[in-house]
Amino acid sequence: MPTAAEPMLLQGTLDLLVLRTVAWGPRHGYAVARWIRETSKDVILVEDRALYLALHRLEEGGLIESEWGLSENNRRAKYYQLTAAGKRQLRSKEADWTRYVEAVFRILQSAEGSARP
Amino acid sequence: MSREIRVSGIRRLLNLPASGRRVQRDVDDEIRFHIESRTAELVAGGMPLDAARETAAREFGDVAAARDELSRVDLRRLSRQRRATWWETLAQDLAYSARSLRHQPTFAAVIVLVLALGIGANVTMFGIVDRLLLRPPAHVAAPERLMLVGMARTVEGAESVQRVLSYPIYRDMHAAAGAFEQVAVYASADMVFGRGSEARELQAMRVTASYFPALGVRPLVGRFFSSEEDGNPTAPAVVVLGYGFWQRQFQGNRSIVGRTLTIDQREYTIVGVAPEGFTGVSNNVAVDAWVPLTTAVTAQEYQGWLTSRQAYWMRIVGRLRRGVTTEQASGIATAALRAGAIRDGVPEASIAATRPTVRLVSVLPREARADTADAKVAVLLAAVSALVLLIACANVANLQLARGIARQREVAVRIALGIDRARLVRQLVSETVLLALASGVAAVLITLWGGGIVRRVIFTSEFAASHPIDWRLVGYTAVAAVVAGLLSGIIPAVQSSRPAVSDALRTGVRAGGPARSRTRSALLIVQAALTIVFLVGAALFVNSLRRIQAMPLGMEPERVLSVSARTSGMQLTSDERTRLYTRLHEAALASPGVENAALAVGLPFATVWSLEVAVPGRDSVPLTRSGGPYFNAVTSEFFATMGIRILRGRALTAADRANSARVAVVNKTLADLWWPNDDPIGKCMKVGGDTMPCAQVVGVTADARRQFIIEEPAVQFYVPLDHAPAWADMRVLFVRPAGDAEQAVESLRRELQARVADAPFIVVEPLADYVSPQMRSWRLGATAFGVFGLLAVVVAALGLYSVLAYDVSRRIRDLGVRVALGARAGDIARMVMGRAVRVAAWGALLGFAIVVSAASVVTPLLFETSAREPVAFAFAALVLFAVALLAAVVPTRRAARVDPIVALRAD
Repeated sequence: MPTAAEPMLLQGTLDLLVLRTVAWGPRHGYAVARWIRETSKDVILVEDRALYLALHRLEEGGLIESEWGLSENNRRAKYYQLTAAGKRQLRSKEADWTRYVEAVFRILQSAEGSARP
Repeated sequence: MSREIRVSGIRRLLNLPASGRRVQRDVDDEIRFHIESRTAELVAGGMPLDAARETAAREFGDVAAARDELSRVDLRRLSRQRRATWWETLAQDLAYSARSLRHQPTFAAVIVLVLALGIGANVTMFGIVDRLLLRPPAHVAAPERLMLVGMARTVEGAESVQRVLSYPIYRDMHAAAGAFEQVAVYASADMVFGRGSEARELQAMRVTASYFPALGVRPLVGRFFSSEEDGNPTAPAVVVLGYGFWQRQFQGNRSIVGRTLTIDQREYTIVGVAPEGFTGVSNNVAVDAWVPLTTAVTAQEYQGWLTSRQAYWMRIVGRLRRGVTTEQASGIATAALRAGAIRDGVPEASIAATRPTVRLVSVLPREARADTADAKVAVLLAAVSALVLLIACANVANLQLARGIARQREVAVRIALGIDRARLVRQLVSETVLLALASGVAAVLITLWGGGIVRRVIFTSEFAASHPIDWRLVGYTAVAAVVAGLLSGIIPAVQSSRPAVSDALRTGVRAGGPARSRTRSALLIVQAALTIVFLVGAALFVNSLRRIQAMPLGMEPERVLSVSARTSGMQLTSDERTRLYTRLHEAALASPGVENAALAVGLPFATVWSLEVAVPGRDSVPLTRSGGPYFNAVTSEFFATMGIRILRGRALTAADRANSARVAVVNKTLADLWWPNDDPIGKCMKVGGDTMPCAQVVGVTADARRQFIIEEPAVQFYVPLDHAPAWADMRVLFVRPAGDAEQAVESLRRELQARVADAPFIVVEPLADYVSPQMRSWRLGATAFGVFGLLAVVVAALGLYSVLAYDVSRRIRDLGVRVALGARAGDIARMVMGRAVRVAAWGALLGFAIVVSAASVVTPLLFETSAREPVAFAFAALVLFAVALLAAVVPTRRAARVDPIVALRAD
């Protein structure tokens, strides 16, 4: 396991990642965890317990919905997918996040520039 | 990647985990699936199984904690969803019901009317029971800790409790400081305010200064009494006004404080106004004014009223000390009561014998009033009105059943479409509930309009007071409406939604099956039976009332008015008072429209006096169980005025004056008992005892009632007013108007007040007012059963009519076939009529059975009437059959006129 410094996962960021992950279609919790781990190349490490809590809270909030189905290896698994409200939420949060990251990045860039006269 | 699965909203709803345990299991499954999947992945990547398991678990984190928090979130979501779904479907059901009812406005109107009558009757009765028994007294703080003080004494083995007590007992309670934080006294008093012809009656309450603090009430304007204002008869006279009186007399003027009001000829300074609705510890009697106990007692009265232990004229309330139980307080107060009795010189032997004990009961009406006649009557009437509602519900159920048959196809289609049966029942019930709620609104209107009438007719004037609809009443109405809706909706809904109904889709059956028809007949019969109960009840009570009214009283109270002058506070001597009455007597005789008038010392049914009599040659005079001998001293017009018949000899005459020979007129009971074998005329009676001179018996009257409508005959005699003993200085004037006594009250009052210019306020009351309270329970029964019985008959008739009419309209085709096959109009008519008659017959039988089995409950409430009286039964049966036939007339005619061609072509 990589021992990179635990990245600070801002409140709301995990929700955004989860929404993004289930946006492509129904998937179970394990698939969501694996997807985040693999796609972030093990940079973002989420405790699975926190991930499930996020899933259930989002379901309570009506952003995602779940149904029991059969997994790849024919086992009972709980599948999550976005609701209409979840899709709207994802779009708006993605835009917020992108603007935020761009702003942070611009600040970091300009700080570098001014340090080198 | 995960498999694509379509999650549909409806299926999500239907797949909801059903219970908490289910939620828990799903969470467990989800976590296990995750950990096992991860372990498998790690093993596939080459990790040994044990290490893989350990890694997967570590990555997951605290499983137990996760389990808890996930279940909690899920349960929360689940219950919110359930609530939302429930309301959503209810709204759908109601909207659907409203739509389907719009297409049948007549049907809806009949149901609303029937239920509104039933609910209205109940709401009216609830309003009365609420005031009598349920609602705590207004503005009284913590009424459950405010205790009415009662004194129980044992006499001849039986304990009796009295709540009207004396001032020394109030002092004893004051001494029982361990039991009560505060003790207060109240006594209602009829007073007069204003002077001369402007004088009016004032419903006053005499209270101690501690009264308002003990009750915990605050003044609306100004202040209440200080302790200096209550304690001696010379204290400044002050008064607190009741809200209603303040509004009526002073238009709610707040600057009234400091002005004076003349009460009983004395100037009282107004110091404050009590809050609206405050009537002391009881809800029923409006109070015009409160005055301090001791200032309102005149100097003469002061001695006896405040010092005599036996002068019972006031009620005592005490507020329990914090932390003291009712039992402990009773114990402390009893000790104080007995100590006080000994201090006041009551012999210890008498205390040991009667064992005076303090009994405490809170001022909450359900405790304080539970035993009163009004309360019992109100509860009886509430039960009776509940029966009316039951009839209405049975009726509506029947209508819905009939309609359910008509809707078989609709229901069958919906079942075939897969609608859940529970949902279907709910939808059908919600329709009735919707109708019931509409009826509730109508019922409130009925209560507003009819409630006042019922209260005036049934209860004493105190209840006739305005009784606005408040939130308690509206809340009760809503509950009654929903319950009535459920009650009348559930049977038809369950029946209509029977899966067997789906046969209807195939066969096209028009009329209900035999089971359904049986249910409907049973409901009709139940209605008819309850109607019989009301009719028999009404007949029995009317009979009782008639018999008691027809009972000879020996006089004619309904033709006579009693007149008295409010002399309290006037400081008149005995002579001045009797002269005042003599002048009133002369004024009455001179007034137009007066047939006769007489003075007397005793007022039959109210105050009677007894006097010792000796008869020469006898050791003692025989008496009946009523005691006596009772006497009245009267002027010569008395017998003619009261309508007391002279059986033998003569009445008193104007010649029987102060200095004429002593004479007496005796009643028949006295004559028969004292001189059974002799002519009583000319016999000697020593009125007042052996030392008195003989009074010669000059006449015998019929027995006239002494005090009660129902009483053992008593030994009574009459002497001329001028011969009355000196102590008998009280007077009452009886006036016999030429016309209707009741209508002459006000004109006679004005006439007398004008003719005797300096007279204080004159009170004129029909003598019948003293008699009628004794007939009240029978009048009440007759009115209540009469009113509610009429309601029951109307509702039952409506029910029978609508069911028959509906039947006929549904069976038009069937009837058409019969006519086509040769049935004659008479046969068809007999068929419809036959059903009505059968329902009435079974209903009558069942109703009679109910009445006969309840006979032991009813009999004590009746007067010289058996609960099994055949006339009452015959009357009830007659009315029921008449109503049943009447209800059947229109449907029968319609059925008899069926045209087979039209009938068969329809549909």
